[in-house]
Amino acid sequence: MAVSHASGDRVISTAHSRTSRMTAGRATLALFAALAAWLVPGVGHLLLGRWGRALVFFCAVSGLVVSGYLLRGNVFPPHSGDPFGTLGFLADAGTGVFYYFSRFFESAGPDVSRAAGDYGTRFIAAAGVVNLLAVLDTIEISTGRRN
Amino acid sequence: MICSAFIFINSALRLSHFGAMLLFALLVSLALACLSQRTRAGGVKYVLWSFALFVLVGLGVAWLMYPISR
Repeated sequence: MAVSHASGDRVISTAHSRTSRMTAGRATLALFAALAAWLVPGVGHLLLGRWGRALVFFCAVSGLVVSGYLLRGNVFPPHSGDPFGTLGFLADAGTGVFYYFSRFFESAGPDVSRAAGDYGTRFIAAAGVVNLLAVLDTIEISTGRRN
Repeated sequence: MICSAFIFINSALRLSHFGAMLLFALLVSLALACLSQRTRAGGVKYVLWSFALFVLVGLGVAWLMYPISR
């Protein structure tokens, strides 16, 4: 009886350690995938083996952000000084590496005096928000909350 | 080559207001469908439905604002 209790405890502790190792592994994967997804849109899903989703997210985010730059939308700097500017920066920074391409695409700088420039600002912010949602999706998939 | 591609895209992207709205609606609908739907059939249905709603609501709001545009 005592032997059976001891072996039962051992089985439970092995299962516990396996579960905690799996949880730690999933958390690491989630963190890594989220970081990758934020930096380059779609890469987080690519790491998780979701090729179709990765392609769609990359096309949607890059399409929005490049169109925004070509429409000469405004890209908010990190230290704008007002709350709306900070919110704009957070949305723009959501595009990851594309945020740093703005100078390449917008060599002439933003032009929000025309309606197209104003649309461009919205395109860039929407791209950032969509990418942040994609980051959340990668976290959910890698932690097993979503299939 | 990258520069010439960039110049081509830049010159090609002279979007009208309606064209910008269509592009925005299409890209955002694609992303939202991917986020909310897990099956391909559901995704396609969602893209079409969302795109149509974006365009219809956009046109509706545009007509509502027409009297105050001038």
